[in-house]
Amino acid sequence: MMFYIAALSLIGIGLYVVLTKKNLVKVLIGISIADSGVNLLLISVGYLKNGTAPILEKGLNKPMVDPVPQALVLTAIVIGVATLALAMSVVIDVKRHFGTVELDKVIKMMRGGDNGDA
Amino acid sequence: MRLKYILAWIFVILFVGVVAYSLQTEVPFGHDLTKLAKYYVDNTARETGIPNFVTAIVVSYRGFDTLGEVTVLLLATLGVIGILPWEKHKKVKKAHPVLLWGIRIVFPIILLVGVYIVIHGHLTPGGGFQAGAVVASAFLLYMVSLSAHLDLESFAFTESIAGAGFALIGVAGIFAGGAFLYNFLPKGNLFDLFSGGIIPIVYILIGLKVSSELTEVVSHMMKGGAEQ
Amino acid sequence: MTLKFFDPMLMIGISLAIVFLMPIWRALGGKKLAWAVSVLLYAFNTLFMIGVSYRATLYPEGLIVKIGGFNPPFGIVLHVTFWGAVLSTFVWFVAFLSIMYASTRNDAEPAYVYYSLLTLIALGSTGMFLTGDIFNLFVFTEITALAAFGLSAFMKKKETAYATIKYIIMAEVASAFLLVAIALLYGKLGTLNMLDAHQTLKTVGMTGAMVLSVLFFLIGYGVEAEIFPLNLWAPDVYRYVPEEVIALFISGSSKAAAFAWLRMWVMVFGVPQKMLQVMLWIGIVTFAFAEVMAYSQKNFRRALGYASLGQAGLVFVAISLGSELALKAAFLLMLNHILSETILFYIAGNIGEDGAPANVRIPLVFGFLGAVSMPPFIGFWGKIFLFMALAKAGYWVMFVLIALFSIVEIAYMYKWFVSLYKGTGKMELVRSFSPIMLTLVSFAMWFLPLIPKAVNLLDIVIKPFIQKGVM
Repeated sequence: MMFYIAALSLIGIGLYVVLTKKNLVKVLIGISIADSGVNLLLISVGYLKNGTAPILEKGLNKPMVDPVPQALVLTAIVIGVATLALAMSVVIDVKRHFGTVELDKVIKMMRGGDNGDA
Repeated sequence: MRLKYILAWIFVILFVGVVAYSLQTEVPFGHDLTKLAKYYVDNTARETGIPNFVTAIVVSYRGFDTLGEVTVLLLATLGVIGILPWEKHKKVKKAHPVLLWGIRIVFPIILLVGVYIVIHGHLTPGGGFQAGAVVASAFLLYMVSLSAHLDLESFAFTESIAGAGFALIGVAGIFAGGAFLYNFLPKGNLFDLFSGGIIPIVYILIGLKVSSELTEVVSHMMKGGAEQ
Repeated sequence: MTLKFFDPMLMIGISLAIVFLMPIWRALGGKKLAWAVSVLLYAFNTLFMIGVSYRATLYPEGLIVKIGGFNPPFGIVLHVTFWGAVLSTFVWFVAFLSIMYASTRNDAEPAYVYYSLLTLIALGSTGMFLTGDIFNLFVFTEITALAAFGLSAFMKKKETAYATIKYIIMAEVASAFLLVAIALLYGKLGTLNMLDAHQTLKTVGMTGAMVLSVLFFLIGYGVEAEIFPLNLWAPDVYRYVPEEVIALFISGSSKAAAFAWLRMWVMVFGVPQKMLQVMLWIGIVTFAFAEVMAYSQKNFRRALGYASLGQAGLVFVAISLGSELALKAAFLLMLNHILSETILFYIAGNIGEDGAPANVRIPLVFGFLGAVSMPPFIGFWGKIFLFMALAKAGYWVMFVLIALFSIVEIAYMYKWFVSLYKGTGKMELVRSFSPIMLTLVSFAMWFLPLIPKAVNLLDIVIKPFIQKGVM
């Protein structure tokens, strides 16, 4: 139970950051916090009481936890990293064009410079 | 503006509460193994011939996901190369002597650890992705301390050949056993270094690909994009 | 050469290998070779997917392709339906037209990266259309999304950067929700295979966790499938991103997300009646909002972007309704949307001071007729089927609303048509190739529902999605 709440709270914190912050870098940090929360949630779903790591060892015969979520999380982590790198380079591009990474200022500049097609 | 924060809090608390409640009532923490998990725990060692079940799932049962995963990493590299504006290399301050001398000792050790992790990926915790990250960290340290830029062309070639190797091993499975990524090599004995058929080979290719890709991403970010 | 040759995994594996080798093609022959390899690949894949589509018609429940030689649900499988195969054929066809179109572009540098991203968005969508595994669907969703981000920001302009960052933030939050949905589903059902999940769900029933899972899947795919209010990123992207990329967004990522929603909602969850009303209203609101916004636009591309959202809303309504007629309507509307909006976007990218280029007047007429679902376009049949399905299910209010906002759509489309038709702008020969090809295809497609054999074909399309036990 505590694991679920902890993992979901991490997702919640990440969502809170995304919803309230204007700074794009902070928003990306929020997304990455939420990602780690999701990964923890997946792992906790696969937990078995008194389970050990799902790797066979000679002379060891204990119940193992579910290996599937661990494999899924491995994939999810890599995807999270890839997205973060891509998003970060777009933020760098935004900074180069607008000179700021505050989303509300960027939106204001876009509206201001628009030639009437918004 | 106040309202926004309150609404966000309410949303977050509702989300956490509702999901945690329904999870705990329907999928209690530490519940019994699912159907899938039972099957894997019972049959993986026999079917794939390796003791690390996570590796077996990542590379063999769900190998297609992993192929997708390395594609996602490729996309990150492509995106960084494509999107980042190219800027002339800025002069970086020279690194501290401790770092300069430390790198000479640490660099080969990190590489060695990476190689160990990838080669034993099907026996012990670890594997291509973890080793890739370790090796990439060695190159990152190299770039930071010597403020030097690597020859990215050769990294791109390593990455492309490793990736294509993975995909083509999969295609070879179609002709050898009728299914993509079919394990067509002899499985060997459980716990042996040379066992598991294509699994260690694929994992080594993944390690090469991941390490060169992460290095490329980091180094493009440090340089500020690709030369155009 | 037997039919067994048409194994979609062969195509996916070879395409991936060729994309991975892109730096080597560039080193060997520069930009030209990278372009030539991509063109050949797209042409080959289009033909190959026609073969796969034909093969899929022989399997009424869908063709199951095992990967790694493991039986489902333990290994990943592709579940190739005729519907998915046809849509993937179109993706590769549109990708082929896009790269022909992009050959005259010299501001997309480095070009080999551009071509790789075009390949990967098509490949990711193909994976989404064909896969039969829920987590594999997520992986391909991310491939499609990342390729879309890369293409969307590729021009490195002020506007594209601004449009893309909004898109990325929304899509990434959505992908976190998608993973939570998968965690709930896996924890409760203990499987990731779609058909197996449906079988297990029949014994478990729609419990609270499953309802949450549906909602999170809706959020997860809603961003890319352009469902209100998750579609607010779309107008800016459609306004500023190059038209050959938009063509792939329309035929690839947005259709693939709608198809993923079809898979989850109809194939896995079996159209839960409790939530049906909500979904229908979401679709209607999407349609209404988009049409009203489109009516007030002063820029043609922005208006087209909103019109495209409206079409996505209609497809969403049809999918969510989930009856036989509605699914047929969804299929036809999807094809119509791919063909007509793509033609219009190709033309919209070349509008001069005084209207559309003169040498694509016929495609222009066809595009507008298709956009408002009139004959000779396949969407005509789609809309009629949708109205019939709504009437049959007794949703008269929605029937009237859709009819009403369709009139709004006709009104503003007519306005744009009049102002664009008398243009004299000039399109290069290579560039006008894409809209003309699409016009030919769309004209040929209209006759499909008139041929008795083809009516049979529509039955094959929806066969794998008809529920044996609706809950």
